[in-house]
Amino acid sequence: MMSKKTSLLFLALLVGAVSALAVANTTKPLADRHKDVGLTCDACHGDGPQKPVTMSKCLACHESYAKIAERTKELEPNPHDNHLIDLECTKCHIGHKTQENYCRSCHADMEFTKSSQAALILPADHARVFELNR
Amino acid sequence: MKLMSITRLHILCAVAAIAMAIPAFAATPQFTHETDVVIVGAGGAGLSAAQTLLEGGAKVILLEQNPFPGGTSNVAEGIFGAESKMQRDHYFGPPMQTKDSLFKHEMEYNHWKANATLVRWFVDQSGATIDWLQEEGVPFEEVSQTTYDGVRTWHVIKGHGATLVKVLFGKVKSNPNATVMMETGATDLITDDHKHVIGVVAKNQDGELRIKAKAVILATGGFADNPEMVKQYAGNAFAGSVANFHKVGFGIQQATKLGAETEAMNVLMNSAVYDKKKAEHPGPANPTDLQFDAVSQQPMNIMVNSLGERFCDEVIANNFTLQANAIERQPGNFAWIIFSQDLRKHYADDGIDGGMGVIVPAGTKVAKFDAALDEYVKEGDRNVYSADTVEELAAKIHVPAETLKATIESYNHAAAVNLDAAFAKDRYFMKPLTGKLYAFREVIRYLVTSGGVKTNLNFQPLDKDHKPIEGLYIVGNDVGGINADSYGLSSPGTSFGFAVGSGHQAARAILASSK
Repeated sequence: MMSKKTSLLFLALLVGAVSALAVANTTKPLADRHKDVGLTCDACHGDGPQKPVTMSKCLACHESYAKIAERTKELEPNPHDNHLIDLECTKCHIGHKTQENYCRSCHADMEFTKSSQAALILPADHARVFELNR
Repeated sequence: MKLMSITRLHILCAVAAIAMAIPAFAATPQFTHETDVVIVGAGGAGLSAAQTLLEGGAKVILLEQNPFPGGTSNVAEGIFGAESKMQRDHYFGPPMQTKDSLFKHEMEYNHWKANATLVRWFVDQSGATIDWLQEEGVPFEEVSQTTYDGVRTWHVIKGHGATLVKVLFGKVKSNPNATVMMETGATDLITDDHKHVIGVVAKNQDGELRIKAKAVILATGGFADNPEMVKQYAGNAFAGSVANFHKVGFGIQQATKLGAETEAMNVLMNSAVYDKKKAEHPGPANPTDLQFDAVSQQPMNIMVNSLGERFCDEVIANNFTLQANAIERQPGNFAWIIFSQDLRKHYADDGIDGGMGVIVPAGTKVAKFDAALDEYVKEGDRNVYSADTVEELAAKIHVPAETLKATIESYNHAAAVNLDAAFAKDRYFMKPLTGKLYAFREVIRYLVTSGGVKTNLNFQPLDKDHKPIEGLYIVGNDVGGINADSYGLSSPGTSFGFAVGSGHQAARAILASSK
């Protein structure tokens, strides 16, 4: 278990790491994208036996579903604001595989579109624009 | 009385001390959680129950086996209501429609084989339940009907059922008295020595949970996704459910295990649909195939059976229950939908004459269907065919050519003289079938099962002596008695309305009993 102080330090490092990043491709597996910004396995998996990551771990850094929805609000429909409220992140963002659109389990033709070249704004303090590759 | 020897007394004391050290109910496995009410299933019924209980101050654990809430309510559209404020405001309330008139409508539709007490309760509470949902923030867009023969009971939600799920689940989830567990399937009920239900066993990726509760509500949505069970009760599983939400009959199985009686277990909310290629995913069909479904439900088509004969007034295709019932009587439980090049153009350019609910509303210009039709025909394995002559079409769909020829000639004559001697079809919907013809195979599927456990009006399951099973409540499509032999589409919104209404009522009964 990380102490609160260590967690804060970790978060500060994370913010720094992400800020150092220019552009990430969303077709790349999530784990690789995290790796690209300098995160290590234990950032998500902890230092114990490596288990699947759950939403609480994601939200420890990415804050909340509402905040994430705010960051993707320019997409239509907003992938983080719908009737599947608080869907486990890994249903789409499969750690070590290319991410999938879980909505397509039912909505076979669901696309998240933006009028022009889509750009996803990551957390404000990260201050980076990620190109959305569809 | 002979005194015990010191040694023996010591041993007894030692045994007693050991016994006291072991928890009092060593025989009963320990509970991992405790709450006021456990709700199994976060569909329309479970969510309605949860929100009502939370508003009454109860603590709730809500279990959902799927990764997402809502179950079949995600694909439902509107809610049955009688004497709602919306009906009044749109002039569809009294005196045009009253609770009394709608109660009679329901019972006559069901030939008085339905549970009249339950139906009366259902109709009577329905308007107030709509008002309650509006207060909860569920937005409605219109009061409507979905068939030509319908009554205006259908309170269509803005964004349809998924919006109700979003609103109610959002409220439940943010309530500190609620614990919501997704991907957590109940596996068993826990009873005490009096066979009263005192908890639920559930399982998720963290292992087994044993939840102690003052009451348990089963809201698992029936058994449409359990083909063996459908076959057992309905005699035929047909082409399976329309949309698989893993409704396998948990609620009904658990309640009957404790002695609950069931009724109307053979009643399916059946629907005649285009025999499409199975989708890769278990959810509803893709938007193109949904338009094929909608086209297959158009009254201007004709339907023939495998013998090449018409078998109904095709205007019933506007009511999917009736269409499916008529198809069920045909050899092999399927039909061929036949329409002409002119009708194809009519559906694409003018729009369809009857909606498939509000998923593909009346008037929709079915461009996706029109764009895909030639490709589907060309692919050859999509149960869609076209031909320039009746003989050629007959060969492709394997029906006797002479019979099909006679059927279409006779129909075209009926259209020309405005009189369908065979099935009295309204002349408005009769157009001669000439030129290029199309056919698709139409089969029976079902959205939900409508039969289930017998209950009292507090939604406690009843045993053979009509005594309630204590500690247990059962709601929504796990309950039987609302529909007797067919789903009632002419008073739309009954299944969704019953789910929400019964969940609301069971919760109120629990709150009242705990005061």
